[in-house]
Amino acid sequence: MAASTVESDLGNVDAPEAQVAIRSLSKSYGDLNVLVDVTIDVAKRDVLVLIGPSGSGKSTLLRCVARLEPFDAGQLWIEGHLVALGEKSKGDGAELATPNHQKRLRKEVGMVFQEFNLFPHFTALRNVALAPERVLGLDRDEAENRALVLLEKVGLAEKAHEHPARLSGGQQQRVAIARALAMQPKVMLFDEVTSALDPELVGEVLEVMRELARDGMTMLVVSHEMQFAADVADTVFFMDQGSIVETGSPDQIFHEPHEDRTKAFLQRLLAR
Amino acid sequence: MEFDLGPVVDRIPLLLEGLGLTLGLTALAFVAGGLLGLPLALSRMLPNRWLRLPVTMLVESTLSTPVPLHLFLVFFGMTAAFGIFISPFHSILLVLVWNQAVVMSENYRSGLQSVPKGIRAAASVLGLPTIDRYRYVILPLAIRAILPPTTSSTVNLIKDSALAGFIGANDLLNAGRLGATESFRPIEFYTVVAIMYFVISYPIVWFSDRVEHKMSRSRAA
Amino acid sequence: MIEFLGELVHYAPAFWRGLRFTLALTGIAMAIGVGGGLALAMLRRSRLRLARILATIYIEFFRTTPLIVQLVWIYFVLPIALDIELSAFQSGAITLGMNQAAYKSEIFRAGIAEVPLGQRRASQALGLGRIDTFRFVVLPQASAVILPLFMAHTMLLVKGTAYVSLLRVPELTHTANLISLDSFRFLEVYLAVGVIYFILIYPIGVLGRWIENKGSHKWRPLQ
Repeated sequence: MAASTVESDLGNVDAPEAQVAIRSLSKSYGDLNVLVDVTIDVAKRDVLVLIGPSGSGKSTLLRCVARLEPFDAGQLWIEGHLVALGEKSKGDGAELATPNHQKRLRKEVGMVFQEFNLFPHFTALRNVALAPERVLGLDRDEAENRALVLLEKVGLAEKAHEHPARLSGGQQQRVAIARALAMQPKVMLFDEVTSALDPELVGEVLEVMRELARDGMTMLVVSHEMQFAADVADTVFFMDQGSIVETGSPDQIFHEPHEDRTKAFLQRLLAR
Repeated sequence: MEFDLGPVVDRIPLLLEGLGLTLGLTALAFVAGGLLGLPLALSRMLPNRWLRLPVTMLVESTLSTPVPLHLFLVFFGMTAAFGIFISPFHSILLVLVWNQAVVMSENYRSGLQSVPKGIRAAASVLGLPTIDRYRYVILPLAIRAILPPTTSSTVNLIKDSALAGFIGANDLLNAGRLGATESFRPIEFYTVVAIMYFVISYPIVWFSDRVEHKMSRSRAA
Repeated sequence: MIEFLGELVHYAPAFWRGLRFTLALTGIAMAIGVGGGLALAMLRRSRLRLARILATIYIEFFRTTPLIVQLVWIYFVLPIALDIELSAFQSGAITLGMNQAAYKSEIFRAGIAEVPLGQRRASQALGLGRIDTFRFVVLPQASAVILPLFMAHTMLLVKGTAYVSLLRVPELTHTANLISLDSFRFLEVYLAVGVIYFILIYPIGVLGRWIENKGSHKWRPLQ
C-alpha cells in the first residue's frame, strides 16, 4: 500500500530515495521550539552522528524517528514509505501514517536508550528473544537461538541466563543492543548510549557499535564521544536550539568548523 | 495481680466463633474490595476530566474520613433517613469492602504508574503490540509494585474488622469483650485477643517479605 | 434542608467541643509519638541486644494489632497493672501516642538513612561540625523523605481519634453519635461531621503530595 507520490501541504512529493528521510520536522511545546524545520537524508549504510548542547533537540529527533513521540509538522519516510506525518499537516498522506502502517514499519527501526531500559523481570536471553517471538512470529526455540547468536555477537553469551540486575552497565547496554538487533531493523538509533556508563565500561559498548558500522548498519547516533564520531561517522550534524546549525564530515566539523556556535560548543567540550 | 487463664479457656468456643467472623469478613472484603478497586482505578485513568472527577471525589472523601464514621453513617444513617435496615454484619461488610476498594484502587494506580516510561518506550520501539506490551512487560512489573502496599492494606483490613463490635456484630474483639465482662477478667481476655489478632496478621507480613525477597533478584538494581 | 441547618447551629457548641477534643487528642498523641518514636529509633540502634529486641517487639505489636484492641487493652489493663487511675481521655491519648511512636520510629530510621554517607563525609571534609552537618546537609535532604511520611501519619492519627469514640470520649465521632440520638437526624449529622473531618484531613494529604513532588525533583542524584 505504498504510494510513491503523496499529496500534502508540501505539495506533491515523490518518495525519497534515501533510506531514512526526515523532511522539515518541527515540534514545539507551547512557546518552546524543540525542533525547527529539521531535514536530514540518511542513505543506506550511513553512520550519522548528532552532536550539540543539551536541549538542542537531538534526543527528541531520535524519538520522533522511532515514532515514540508525535511531531507538529513535517514528514518521516523510511525505505520509501511515509510512516509519520506532522499532526498539523493536511493532505491525504495522513491515512498512510495509520497505526497499522506504523506497526508494520516500527520493526524497521531499532533504538538503544541511555538508561538501557532492559526488562528487569526477564533474563538477558528472554529480553532479546521476546519481540522476535511475539512480533515476528518465530517460535520459542527459533527466537532463543537467534537471541543466543546475538548475545554471542556482543560478547555476552555466558550471561544469557542472568537478570539485568546482575549485569554491569556496559553489559546491560550490550544486551540492549542485541535486543534491538534481534528485530533485524534497517536502521539503528542510539541515544547517548554511553553517557550513563562508568568510563571504563564505555569502550566495550563503542566497540560493538563500531562493529555494527563495519557490518554496514545504517546508524543515527547521538553522542558526546568525539573519538568514536571521528573514527566511524560519515557525517556529523551539529544541532542547537532545535535546528541543524552545521553539517559536514567529521574532519571538517571537528577541525574546521564554520559556524561560531559550533566552535563554541567544541571548545567547551574539548576543554573538559 | 493474678493472671488466670481459666475463664478464657472456658470460653474458647466463643472466641473461635468470633475469630471465624473476623476471618470471614476479612476474606470477603479482601476479594470484593480488590475486585471493585479495578474499575475505580481504571476510571481515574480515563482521559476525560469530567468522568474522572466524581470517582476522584469519592475516593478522596473516603480516604479523608475515619472508618468508624463510615460505619455509623451506614448503620444508623441509612435506616433513619431511608428506612432501609442494614444488619450489623452487612453494615460492617459494606464499609470494609468500600474502604478496601478505595485503598486498592490507589495501589493499582500507583503500581501501574511506577513502571518506568523508558521501559514502556523500549517495549514500544521493539514493535510489541499493546496487548503484548501489557501482558509481558507492564503488568508483570506493575504487579510487583502493587504487592507491598497490598500487604499493609490487608493488615489494615483485619484491624478495621474489629469495628464490628461497635455495632453489635460478634467478631473476635466482641467475643473477647463479652468474655471479659462476664468473667470480670479483662486483662486475660484482652491480652489473649490482642495476641490472636497479632497471630492472624503477622503471617501476612512475613509472607509479603518473602515474596518481595524472591522478586528482588529480578528487579532492577 | 434549611431547618436542618438551623438545627445544626443549635448544636454548634457540641460540635465545637467535639472538635476541641479531637484536636487535643491529635496534639498530645503527636507529641508522645515524636518523642517516643525518637526513643524507639535510638533503642533499635542500641548496642544492647535486649533493647533492640524489646523495641522491635513494641513496634511490630503496635503496628499489627488493631487500634481498637490497643485502646481497650490500655484502658482496662494499664490502670490495674500500674495501680493508677486513667480517664478515658487520658488512656485514649496515651494509646494513640504509643501507636504513633511505633510508626514514627520507622520514619526516623528511613529518613536519616536516605542521605548518602558520602554527603556526610564531604561536609566533614569541608570542616562542618556535626551539628552543622546535621542542620544544613542531612536534615533538609532527609526532610524531603520524612515530611510526606509525617503527613501520612498525621492523617492516620486524626482518623484514629475517631476510634477513641468507643471509650465514650466526646471527640467528633462520639459527639456525632450523641447529637444524632438527640435530634434523630442521623444521616445529616454524620455527613456534617464527615465534612469537618474532610476539612481537617484532606489538606494534609494535599500538602504531603505537594512536598513529595517538589522533593523528588530537587534531590535527584546529580549525574
